[in-house]
Amino acid sequence: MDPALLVDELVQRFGPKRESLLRILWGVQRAFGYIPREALEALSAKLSIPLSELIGVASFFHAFKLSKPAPINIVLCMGTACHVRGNSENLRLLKAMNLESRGIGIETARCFGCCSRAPVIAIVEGSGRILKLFGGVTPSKLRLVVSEATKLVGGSRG
Amino acid sequence: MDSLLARCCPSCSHSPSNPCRNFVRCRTEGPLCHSSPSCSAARKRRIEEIVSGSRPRVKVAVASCTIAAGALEVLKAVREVSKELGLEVVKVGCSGLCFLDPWIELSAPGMPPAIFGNVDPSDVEKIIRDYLDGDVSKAYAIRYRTGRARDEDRVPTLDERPEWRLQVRYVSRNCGVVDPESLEHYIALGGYRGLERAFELGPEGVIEEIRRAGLRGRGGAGFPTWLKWKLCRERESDEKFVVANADEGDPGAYMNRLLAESDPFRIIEGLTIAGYAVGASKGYIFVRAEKRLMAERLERAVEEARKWGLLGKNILGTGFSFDIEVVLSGGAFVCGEETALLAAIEGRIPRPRQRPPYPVERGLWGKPTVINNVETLAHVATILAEGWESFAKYGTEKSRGTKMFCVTGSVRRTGAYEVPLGTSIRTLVEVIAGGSDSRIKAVQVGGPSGGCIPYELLDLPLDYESLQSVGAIMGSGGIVVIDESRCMVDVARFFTSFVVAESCGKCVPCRVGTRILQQILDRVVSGEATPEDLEVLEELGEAIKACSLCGLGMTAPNPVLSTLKHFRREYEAHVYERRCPSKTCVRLVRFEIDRSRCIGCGSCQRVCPASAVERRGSTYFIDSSKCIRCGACEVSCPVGAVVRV
Ligand SMILES: Cc1cc2nc3c(=O)[nH]c(=O)nc-3n(C[C@H](O)[C@H](O)[C@H](O)COP(=O)(O)O)c2cc1C
Ligand code: FES
Repeated sequence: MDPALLVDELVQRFGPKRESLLRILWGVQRAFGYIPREALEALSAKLSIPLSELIGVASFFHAFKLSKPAPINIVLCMGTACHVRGNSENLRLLKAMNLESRGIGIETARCFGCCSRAPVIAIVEGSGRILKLFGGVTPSKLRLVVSEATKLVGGSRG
Repeated sequence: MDSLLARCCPSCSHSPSNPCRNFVRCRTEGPLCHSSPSCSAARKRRIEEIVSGSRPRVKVAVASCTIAAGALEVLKAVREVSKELGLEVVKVGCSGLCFLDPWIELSAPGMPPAIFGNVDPSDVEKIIRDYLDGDVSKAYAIRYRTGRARDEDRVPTLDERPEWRLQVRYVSRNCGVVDPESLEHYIALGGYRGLERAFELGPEGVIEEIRRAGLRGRGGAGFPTWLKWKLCRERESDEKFVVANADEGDPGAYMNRLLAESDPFRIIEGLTIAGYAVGASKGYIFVRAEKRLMAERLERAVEEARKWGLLGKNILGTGFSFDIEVVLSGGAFVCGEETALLAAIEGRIPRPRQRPPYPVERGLWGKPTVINNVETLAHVATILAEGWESFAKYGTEKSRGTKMFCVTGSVRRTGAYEVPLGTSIRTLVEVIAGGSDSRIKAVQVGGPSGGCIPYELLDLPLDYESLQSVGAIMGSGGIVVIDESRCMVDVARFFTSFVVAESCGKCVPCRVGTRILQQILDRVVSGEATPEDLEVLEELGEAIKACSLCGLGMTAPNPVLSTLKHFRREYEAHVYERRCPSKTCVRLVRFEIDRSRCIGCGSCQRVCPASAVERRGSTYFIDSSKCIRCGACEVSCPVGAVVRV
């Protein structure tokens, strides 16, 4: 779908006012998995808000991505419970594995809300959908996560 | 009768367009508008059905936490078995006993309702069949005894379990009990009595009731709720707003989410009462970005309340009109700060601004606005329904009532527990949450704005003032238990990087100051810091607290200052001895291969990116001058022979 058309539709649905901004941005993010620049440009014209300011708002929030995410991402919870149970180590180890070259993105999140299973790692699709969630990830279980992600990358390409 | 909310017979004239004042009482104790023994018997029966069930029933906890543990698969299995056996399936929220996730509760006429934890979908059928057969032996607990199940005495009741007995489930009473998507359930269990009573008391009466209860804000600083409302009520304005803060930014606290996912109507009722008390016509619920299900359930609850005339024009025929909009945040910790939150709702960049003027003077679009935490609002609804004494009898002189706390980290029973304020941290952590398998070193209270409290001070009561006296804060009530294996400098550095990433950048002390704190901490964990650095940490920390614009900066140094105060020796070991006592900081440890354990598989050598691993006969050796301390060998070793020294 054309980002500008979607923006038209969202503006119509939520009203051409500034207070609809968060809802509209969510609409775009959900449709594309990120917020394409063309969408912001269209929105700027529609709401008469300078593009710079829209980028300011969109980039201030963590949930909005301004570039297209990898098709498969390993997302580590960096909440407190997951940190004290070892996810920072896991992150360091994953970063050393050079997974980007295999088409796997590495991202962090702040608390998946299941701290009882800390440390938690999820495999997340480009659209933001969680495909798999792993709890109690010890460094040795980390290999399982990586091989699962590698399999999924293969799947999403094939 | 299909639903309590519907008309019982044509004589009932109530409808949202023809509202009646006694709607709630009429539906639960009534009918009041006409007298009919058969209608009132039907209502009683329906309530009984909701409370105890008329046939065998399975409750499945479906909330973010249980879903992450596999609740949807369990639900699917439960549905299949139930169809075959004719059981009723009810989706409920979460009780806060997170260590049981995913869990289900079974009940049948005459049998003790039994809770089964850590359920695997493949076991569902057997659990249900055994239960219907009179066997509860595998249950985690039963709610009460009936003497009808086999070997019932061997299973404890909930109240015999410390994690339940020591709780006071005041605001969380419905969590894990009712269907969060059903207004009927909520009303059958006493919901919306608070709003009805509020209308009887009038706005001033409501404020007085909350004053007597002694309710203080559950979202941060503990400001008296009645006073905030009074200040807003007294302002002249053509329009006012109330806002529920459901931003819950502390990474590792989830009691707000749990409450909103498990009992959303209580929050909506509380916000409606707040609107009535201050004279607002519109309310907003601002929900944190990641908490999708929470937003969905709140939104659904708003629609449902609107459908039955509990939101909208002329609520219950009182002339009071009020509506609620749920706003999903884009996710930024600073959005929890009230002035930033208002900016976000208005569609602006959520940067806090100078206060005063406070939101009660100039809030949304410049109009007087009250902002309250969602737990505060849920308490409001409960207090109004039950009377101020029911709340004020718990807690301490200055910190009244109960509060929900999330206990996570190195504990046996991670969960969200509601206890009277003034309960000691020790009771919460060691008795309710079951202590830790390893030795507890400290607890961190209050998230990124809070502080670390050493094990020796665990008898400290959980109230606003006591926590402040040791450099922590209540915050929203997140408690993270840290064991001996963690380095306290590393914990401080974790929270500091968090606030560096979350600082909005508007004021210099916070933007630049926290970054310098982080740089110093980076030096400490790498063994490159000097003794002066520790002094700078302290001085700078105090300066940031004193000079920052908003609460984020004013509390950002707390994790550093509290660890410096209570765990100075650990800092000193890093600085003077270039040693990390808990062997967490990789720059200060050496990796070695324990020859007695090594099986000579060579995987460490293969993964080492720095070619630091050499073969020596049948085993391997790490050349520490080449080692870059990435730890890849540690992970790759199948027998745990790579050790830190
Ligand atoms: C950086 C920062 C983050 C905050 N985050 C939250 C939050 O997530 N939830 C919340 O209720 N209050 C949060 N607060 C406190 C709010 O600003 C406000 O005081 C509170 O919502 C008032 O509600 P209460 O009086 O019911 O506690 C935060 C404050 C600061 C400075
Ligand atoms: S801290 Fe990781 S799930 Fe909560």
